[in-house]
Amino acid sequence: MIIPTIGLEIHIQLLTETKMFCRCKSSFGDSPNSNICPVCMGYPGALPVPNRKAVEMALMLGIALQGDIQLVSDFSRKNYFYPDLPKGYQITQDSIPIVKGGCIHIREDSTVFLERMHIEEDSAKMIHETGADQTCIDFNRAGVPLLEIVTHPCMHSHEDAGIFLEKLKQIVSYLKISTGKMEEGALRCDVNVSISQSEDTLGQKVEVKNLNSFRAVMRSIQYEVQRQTDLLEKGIPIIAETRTWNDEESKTVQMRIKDSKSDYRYFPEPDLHSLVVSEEMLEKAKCSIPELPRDAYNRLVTKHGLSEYDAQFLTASPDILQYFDECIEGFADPKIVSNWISSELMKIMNDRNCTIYQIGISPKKLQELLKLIQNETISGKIAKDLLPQLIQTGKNPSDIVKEQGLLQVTDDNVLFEIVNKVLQDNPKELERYHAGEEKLFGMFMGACMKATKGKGNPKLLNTILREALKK
Amino acid sequence: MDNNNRKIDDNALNLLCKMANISLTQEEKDHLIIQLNSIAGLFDQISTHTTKKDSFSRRSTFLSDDTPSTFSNIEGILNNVPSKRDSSVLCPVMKFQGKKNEEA
Amino acid sequence: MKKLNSIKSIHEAYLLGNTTPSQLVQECLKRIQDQDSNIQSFLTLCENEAIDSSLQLSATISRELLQKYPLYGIPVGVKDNINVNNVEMTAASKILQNHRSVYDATVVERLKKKGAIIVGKTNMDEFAMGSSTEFSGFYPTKNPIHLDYTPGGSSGGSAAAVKAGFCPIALGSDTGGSVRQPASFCGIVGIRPTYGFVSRYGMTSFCSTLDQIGSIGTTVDDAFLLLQCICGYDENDSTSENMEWEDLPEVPSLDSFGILSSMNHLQMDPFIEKMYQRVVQFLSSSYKPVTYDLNMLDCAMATYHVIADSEASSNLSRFDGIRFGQQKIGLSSEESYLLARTEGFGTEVKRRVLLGTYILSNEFAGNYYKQALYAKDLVTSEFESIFTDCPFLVLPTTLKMPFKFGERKDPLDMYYSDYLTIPSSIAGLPSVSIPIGIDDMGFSAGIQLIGPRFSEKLLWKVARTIEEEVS
Repeated sequence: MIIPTIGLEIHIQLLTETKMFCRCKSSFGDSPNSNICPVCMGYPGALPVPNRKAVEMALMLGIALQGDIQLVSDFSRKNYFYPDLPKGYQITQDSIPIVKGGCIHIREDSTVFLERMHIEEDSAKMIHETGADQTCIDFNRAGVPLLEIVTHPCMHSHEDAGIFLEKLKQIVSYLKISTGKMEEGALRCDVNVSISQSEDTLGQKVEVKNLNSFRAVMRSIQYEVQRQTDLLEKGIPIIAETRTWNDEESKTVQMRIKDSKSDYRYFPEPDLHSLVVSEEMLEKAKCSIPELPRDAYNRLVTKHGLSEYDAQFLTASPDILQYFDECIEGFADPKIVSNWISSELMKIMNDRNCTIYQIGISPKKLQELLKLIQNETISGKIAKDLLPQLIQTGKNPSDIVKEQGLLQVTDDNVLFEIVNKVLQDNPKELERYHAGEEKLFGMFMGACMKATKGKGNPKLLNTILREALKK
Repeated sequence: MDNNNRKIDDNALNLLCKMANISLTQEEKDHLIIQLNSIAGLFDQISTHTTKKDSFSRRSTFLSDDTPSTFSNIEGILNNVPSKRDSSVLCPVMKFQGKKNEEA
Repeated sequence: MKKLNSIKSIHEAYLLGNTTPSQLVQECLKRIQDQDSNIQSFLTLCENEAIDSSLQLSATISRELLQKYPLYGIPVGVKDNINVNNVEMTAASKILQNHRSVYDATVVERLKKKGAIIVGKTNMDEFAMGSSTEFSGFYPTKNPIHLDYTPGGSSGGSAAAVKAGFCPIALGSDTGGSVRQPASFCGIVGIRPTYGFVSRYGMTSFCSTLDQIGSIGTTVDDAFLLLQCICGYDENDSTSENMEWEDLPEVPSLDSFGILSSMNHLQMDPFIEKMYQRVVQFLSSSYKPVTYDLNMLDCAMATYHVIADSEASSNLSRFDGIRFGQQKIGLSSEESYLLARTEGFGTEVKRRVLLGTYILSNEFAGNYYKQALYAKDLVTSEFESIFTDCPFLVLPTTLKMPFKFGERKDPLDMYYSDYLTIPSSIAGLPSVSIPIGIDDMGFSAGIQLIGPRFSEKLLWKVARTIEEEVS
C-alpha cells in the first residue's frame, strides 16, 4: 500500500498600500517600473524600514490560524544572485519567524498542522515574452510584502491539499489581508511530495514548482505520486530534486537536483533591529479579526437553521456572507434569502462575471422585495421577474409593484372564477385527472397562474384548485 | 562550540568565487589562498573568548505607517539603467529559461 | 589671499565683509584646480552646484543666519561613498563609474539645509575597504604633508583635502577607524560618532553594524560643528538613535581618565608613545589617571573582520550591472554578473567579499558570524565597566606613523593599522582623534579620546583643552 505524504509551502501577497521595506505604492497593473525608489531598487545607501500594516496582517493570520505568536522575532538576509533580486539578498525571517505552528481544519476529523509563518519581501517580476530576444524586469513587485506559510508534511491526498488551499484562501480573504487568488499571483504554492509503504517512515521528498492554480497543485500531486510509485515498483530510488509542473503536458519535469549548493548564507539583517510585537499591536490584531468562516458556518446552521449545504455556500466568500447578513437584518426568513442568493443572484454573478455587491441591488432592497413575497403582496414568480428591472432602474420594489399593478390576487371569488374557467376549458384533462393522472394538477396550476398573469397567490390558488377538483 | 571549518584550498576558493560571482586568475587565486588562510587564522581568537553562548542584544525596530509616497526622481533611476526598453529594465542576455535556478 | 581654513575665520571674514560665500567658493575651486593634481584628493568636483548655491547664500547672508547656522557658507568635501543628488558617486570603484546619485543622503540634505556648500566628492579606498587610499579604483591620494606618504584610509581623500586647505571640513566614514586614522596621518582632527547618532541613509554600506559617517576638520571645534550639523534621528535609517544634539547629556564632573597599562607588547612607534605620554601627563594635572589592560584588543580585531567582511560580502551583492553601474555582457546572465563584478571590483574588495562569503557559508565556517556578535557584546561590556570607573579613555590612534606608498603589502599588515581604532568601533562608542606634536618628517601623532555612548559633549570639551595646550 502506498501512502503519499504532502507538504506545502505557500506565499501570500498582502494587501498593504505600500511595500514591505519602503513606502512605494504596492499596486498591480501599473505601468512597469513606476513604483520604485532607491530602497526597492537596491541602490547603494538605501535602507529598509518595515511596514507596520504588514506585521499587523501577519499577526491577524497567525491568531486566526491559532499559531504561536513570537513577540520577538528577527529579520534575516537570504543571499543569492538573480536578476529579480535587486539587493542580491532577500530580507526574510530565518531563525525566528513571527508565528510558529498553527493549523487549519480541513474536515471534521482532519487538521493540517503548520510549521511556521513568516514575513518577507517579494522579488521583481521577470517578463519573458515569447519570441522576444531579452527578458524584461519590472521592479513594481520588488519589495511587496509576502507571508510565507509552511505546512508540516501531514496531508496524504491531493484532495486534502486542495481543500487546505481553499480554506486558506477563504481565511485570508475574510481577514482582508489578501485576495488569495493563484491566477493573480496573490497566492503561490510549491509542493513537496513523497511516498512510503509504512505510516511510520517518510520517503524521499521531491519538490514541485511552477503551479498556477489549485487544480494544478492537485494534478501535480497525483502525477508525482504515480511517478514515484512507478519508480518504487521498478526498484529505482527516488532522488532529491526540484521538478517543474508542465501544465500542457500534465507532467512534472526535472528542473535541478537538490544539493548543498543552495547555501543562502543566512545571517541576521544588520540594518534592522528585532521585530517586537507590543501588547497593543497584538490586541489590535485580535480585535481586527472578523468572524471567521468556520464560526460563520456554525452560526448559520445553529442560529439561522440553514442547511449545511446552504451554510457552506454562503460562507464560501466573505462578501457573500456579508451580503447575506445585511439582508437578514430585521428580516426573519434566512432561508428565502439564502435561496435567492444561491439561485437568482448567483446566476447574475456568473453571467456578468461580477461580485455580489457589483450586481446593483443592495441587501436592503433585496430584503424589501423578499418582504413583499413574505406578506403575499406579490408572488415569488413576479418577484423573480422584477429583479432585472430593480437592478436596472434602482427603484424601490414597492414602487414598481404599484406602478405596474403587480399586486398579488388574493380575492377568493376572483380566484374561484378563474379556477372554474380553467377546468371548464380543459374537460379532457379534467377527465384524465379524475381517472388518476394526478400529475395534471401541475398543468392546471400553470394554466391558472397564467390566467392571473402570474399574480395569483399560489397558496390560495392551490387550495381553491384542490377543492374544485374534488368535486 | 565546534565550528568544523575547513581550511581554504583551491577547491574551496573556486566554490567561494562561484557563490560570490567573482572570478580570479590562477595567480590571484594562489596569492589569495595564502592571505585568506592567514586572515582566517585570526578567527580562532573569537572562539577562545566566547565559550559561553550569550544572547546578543536585541532592540525593537521602528515600524512605519502604511502611507504611500512617490519617489521624486524615478527618472534618475531609469536613466541609470544600463540597458532598457521603454521603462522596462532589460536583463543582460537572458531569454526564456523557465523558472530560475535559485528561487526564494 | 589669506587661506581661510577654519570655520571661525571664515565666518569672521563674512561678518567683516572681507569675503562672500561665492568669492570663497571660487577661490576654493581654483585652489583645487591648481593644486589637487599633486594630491588627488577629489574624484569629482561639484563646480556648478557649489557656485550656484554660494551665489544664493551670498545674496541672503546676514548676521542672524551666520549665528544660527555655524556651517553657513562653509565649503565641505564629501567622501565619495555618500550620495549627493545628481552628482557622480563611485565609492572609488570602477563598477560605479559614471553612476549618478538620484537622491541626497540624509547628512547631505542637512548640510544643504544649513547653508553648507558641497565642493566635491573625495577619494577613498574602494568601498571604504582599506587604510591608505591605495585601494581606490582610480588613483591614490597623496599625503599633503609629504607626497610620498599615504594619507591613510579609507577616508584619505577627505583628510587630504582638509589638510591641503581645499575645504575646512569634510565628511568621511568610519567602520574600523577610517576617519580617525587618516585624520591622524594628515595631522588633523577626525571624529567617529556614537553608533546610530548619525544617519547612514545614503551612505554606501560596507559593514552595516559598524559604519558611521564621521567628520574631519583642522580644529576640534570645526570637526564637532560639522558633527553637530549632521547628527540626529532619521526615520529612514532603522539603526538611527532617537537622540538629537540638544538631548546629549551634559558634561559630568571629571575627576579621572583611563589609560593603557602597558604598551610594550604593542610595538608602538616611539614618537607616538612619546606624544601619548605627553597627553597623559597633561591630563594628569587635572584628572587622575586609571590604568586598564584592555584585554579585548586582539579579540576585537578578529571580531571586526568577521563582522565587517561578512556584511560587506552581502552589502556588495547589489553591484551586478543590471539596474545601475557598469554592465558587462557575457554569453549568459551568469557570465554577465561575473564579468561586471570581476572587472569592476579591485583586489582588496574581492579579498574581503570572498572572505565574507567564506565566513557566512554553511559549507565552510557556519558559526563565526554569530560568535562574533557575541564577542562584540563582550567587547562592549568591557568598555562599559571601564566607563563606570572613569568618564573617558585615552589611547593612541595608530600603532605606527604614516607609511609610504607600497610599504604595506601584506594585507594582514595593513589591517593592523586599525588595531587601536577597531575596539571603540566594535562597541559603538564615540571617539575623536587629535594631532599631537610634529616629528622630523612633519607628521603628528594622533591621540584618540574614547567615551561612553553619547558622550560627544564631554569629548569636545576635553579635546579642546588638549588642543589648546598643544598649540
